Amino acid sequence: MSTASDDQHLEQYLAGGSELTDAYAEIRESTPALPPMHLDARVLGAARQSVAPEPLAPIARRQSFSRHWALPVSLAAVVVLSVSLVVVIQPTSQTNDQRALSVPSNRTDAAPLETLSTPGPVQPDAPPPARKSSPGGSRSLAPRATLRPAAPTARTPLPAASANGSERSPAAARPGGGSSARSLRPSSAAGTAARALKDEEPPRTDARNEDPGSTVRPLNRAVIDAERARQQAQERRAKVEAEREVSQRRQEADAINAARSAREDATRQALEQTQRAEQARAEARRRLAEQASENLTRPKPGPLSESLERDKNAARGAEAAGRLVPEQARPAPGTNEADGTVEPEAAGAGAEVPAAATPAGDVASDQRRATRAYQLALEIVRDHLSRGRLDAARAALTQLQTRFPGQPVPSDIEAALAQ
Amino acid sequence: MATDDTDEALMLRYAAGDAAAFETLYARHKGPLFRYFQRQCEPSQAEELFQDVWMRLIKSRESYQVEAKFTTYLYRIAHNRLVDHYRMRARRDETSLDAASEDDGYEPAAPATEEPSAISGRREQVARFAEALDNLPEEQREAFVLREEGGLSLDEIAAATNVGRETAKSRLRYAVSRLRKALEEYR
Repeated sequence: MSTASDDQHLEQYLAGGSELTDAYAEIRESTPALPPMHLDARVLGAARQSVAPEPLAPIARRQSFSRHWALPVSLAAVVVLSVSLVVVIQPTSQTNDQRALSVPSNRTDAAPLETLSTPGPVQPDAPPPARKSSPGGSRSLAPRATLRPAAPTARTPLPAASANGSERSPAAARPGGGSSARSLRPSSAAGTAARALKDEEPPRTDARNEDPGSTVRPLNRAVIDAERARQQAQERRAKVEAEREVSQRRQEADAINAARSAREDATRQALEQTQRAEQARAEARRRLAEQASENLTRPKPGPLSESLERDKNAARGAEAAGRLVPEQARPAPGTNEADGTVEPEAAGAGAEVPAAATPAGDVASDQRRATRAYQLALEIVRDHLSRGRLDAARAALTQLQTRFPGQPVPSDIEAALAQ
Repeated sequence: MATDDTDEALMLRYAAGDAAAFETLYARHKGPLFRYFQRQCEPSQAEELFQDVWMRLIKSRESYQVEAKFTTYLYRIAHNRLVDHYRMRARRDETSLDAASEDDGYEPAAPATEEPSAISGRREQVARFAEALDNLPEEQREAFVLREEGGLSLDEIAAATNVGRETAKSRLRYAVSRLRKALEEYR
């Protein structure tokens, strides 16, 4: 089928009177399809309900009203409650603070406490710095928390006081007032609290600033005072214990420091002793060397026995000085401590020491020893010459001639020096 | 007064709170709309969809504005609801819309003349026509039903089904062609 014929058929159909329309109309007539009655009722009911909300209108208006005003009203209520709470709590806390610092004057149990305070003029409005002078420092929440629930009970004794015939008068209301206020006996708890207060609270010198309107100190305030005094006593006790502990630790530290300094002193003394011994040893060694050199250079007026005796004495002194140092640290006789070499003169003199120490000491041995020393000095001169050290050889020869005057100089040495 | 009887005027009056206007409107369009759904899906689902469309119309009464013919507005709601229904069914059956309509064993409202004994020549022709109508693709059938039940023009069909005019015309042309062929075959 062509598109043109289809378009033509469509145009005929859209124009109306088509057989398709007739056929569909027959179908529609043969099947009269209408929605069920319950559907009609449901739809129409919903339509009516949506456009006819008369019975619901007040509720809706009420809901919208409440929805509209709920937030502002709640905010206003919160503000009013907050302000009223602040207004109520602030005077109460001020009064509690003032009364906590004051001592009751119109109670029989609190009478001894009055003796602790100095009499002074009554100041109804105590200055706030009085609170700073209290050892408790800043206020804690605990007393205030306990104060509020107990407040109704504090007011209960008032009718009883009136019933006892004690009329409230301004005189009775003042601190140290009339006896009618004193006739009001607080309970045993209040008495205990007052006693605790007497035991633990330090004497106060600040003025009584009790409210003139209140003649009877409530029970809860006495309890609060006692509690506060107990806390202060605990704080003082803790402070004392802390100070004691600090002093103990300080003493321990001092003892430790003293022991340490004693140890250091002992160590220092030992070191100084060692140094002194070392110095003495060095001094003795130096003196011995000087004496040995003096013995070599000094002209002997007499026989060699005197110089040898002097050498022996020097050797004994050196040995006595060497006793201060350990035996193994003592250098060998005739050994240069610096380089360990053996000096010919010292070796020669040292070699003669044991022989000279003998009690024999006869002249022959002295001469022998002097001869040997002379020969040793000659050997030294020759050694210098063999090594080509002419100056040292001349100096050694000069010393030799000085020590052994009159002794002839060997010809070989003279020849070598002449060359 | 004639102006007040138009569908749009009735809807505006209903939007202003006149329930009687809605009753008139409902009485005027309940049959065609119900048959529209009846031609597209099962009777029980047709009832549900029919009720949903009217409820949506009631709900949107305050925002109703006369931008088109009321029937176009009404059948656009119906078309959207029908498309939702098709999508839900396709998602449920995981089949295409065509296959789903066949697999469900859905038989559109059959004319009472289907019984062999009652079928005469004309009635048999109408029965074949109804069968051909049921066998049309959904878009073509919807276009034809919108034309027959709602009396919509090509532009209105296009607006109601959210397609272009040419698309609507093509769908309607195919539907007319197939239905004519069904009638001619019986002849």
